[in-house]
Amino acid sequence: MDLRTLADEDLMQLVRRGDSRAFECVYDRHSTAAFSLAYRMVGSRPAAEEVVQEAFVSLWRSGARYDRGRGSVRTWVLGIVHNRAIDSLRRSVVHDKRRASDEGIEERFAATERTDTEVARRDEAREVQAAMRGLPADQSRAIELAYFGGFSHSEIASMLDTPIGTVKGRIRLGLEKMRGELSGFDPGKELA
Amino acid sequence: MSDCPHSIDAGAWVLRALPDDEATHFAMHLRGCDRCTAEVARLQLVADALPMVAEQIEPPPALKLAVMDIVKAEAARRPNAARSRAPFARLGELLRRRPVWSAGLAAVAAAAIAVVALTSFDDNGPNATTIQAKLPTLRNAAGRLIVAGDMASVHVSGMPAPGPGRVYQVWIERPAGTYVPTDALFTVSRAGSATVQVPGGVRDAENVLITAEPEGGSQAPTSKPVFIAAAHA
Repeated sequence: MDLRTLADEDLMQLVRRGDSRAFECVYDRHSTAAFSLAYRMVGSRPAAEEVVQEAFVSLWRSGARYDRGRGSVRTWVLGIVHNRAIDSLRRSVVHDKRRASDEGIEERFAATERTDTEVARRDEAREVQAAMRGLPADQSRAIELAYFGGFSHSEIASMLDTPIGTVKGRIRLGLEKMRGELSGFDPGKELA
Repeated sequence: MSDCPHSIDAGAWVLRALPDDEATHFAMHLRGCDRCTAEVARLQLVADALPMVAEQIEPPPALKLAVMDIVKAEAARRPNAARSRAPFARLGELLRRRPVWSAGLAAVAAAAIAVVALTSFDDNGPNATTIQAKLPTLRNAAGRLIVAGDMASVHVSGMPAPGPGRVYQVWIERPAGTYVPTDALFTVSRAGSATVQVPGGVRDAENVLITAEPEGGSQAPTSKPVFIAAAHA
């Protein structure tokens, strides 16, 4: 059986049983998105590699906890990476020096579009990026700092010299607007 | 948009931007507030899409090697551990989902299984035992379990195909009433027959079961057993 033809959810059934080949397929499918997210958040390749390694090893060890009823494997993987990256940031002494925007990243290794699936994902990414760019600057900044920066609303309020309630409101309004722009969009749908 | 005063926290919640104490309070609030729960679900879809904003960057090949070194080493050390923990963890869920079958299974098996005769086991000499199985839903099928020491094999005949997208899966039932999946996934011949080894043997088994499962098998049974045999005479 060619494992590469299996859906993510079926691969996870095998991962639960300790099938390392199935796990390798999951890694191959999602490691680029995982590394990109980690890199965007922590801002350096060594730190991103550490986050992604921790996340995937955690995923391997906790595969039995994946519940398809709560979202796709991709969403689950990226959620683990996001949490690990936030943990990494919050224990880092250089948190406040890290960039939350994508400017200034020195090393770039753009992923190549190898398959139709990746091309489709790239198109979807452009939609999400456009929706983000369409937000008022104060809303997109608050979302950037919260999601990619790993900052709490109180930290963001302090950085922007803005009341906490205003920061909460900007985050929520920004997400609501993006929701409207992305109606019908399913980030977790199976493309493989 | 929710009109609950706490819904202002929904955005920060889905981005994990609430401090721990506030996150704890909001989580408790969510248990009793349908409006905030719905708001969180709506915004979570956007949060799940946010990773796409990041420029896509290839991870270094060495990272995959490092991850897979760990995974392969652990897989080699615990070939059965990963298999056996999951069904135990999900047993409660299974019992809640299928109370009738779960509650009645032990009684059905005990009443229906009959030990028939000593016979020979193909590969394991003359000391094999044949145990007739109960096939509660298959009138024209027959099945038996042949046990020699800790080894066992399942033999069926007259069984229908498991259906499109489904396979038969062999399970071990432990004395505690837990069901351990095996990698024995099979379909039957046109005549409805099949012979399948029970992976890992039956040393700790009380019963051997077969259910029809989605292709790839399941970690917990999703259908009633079509084959039930005591693991020991």
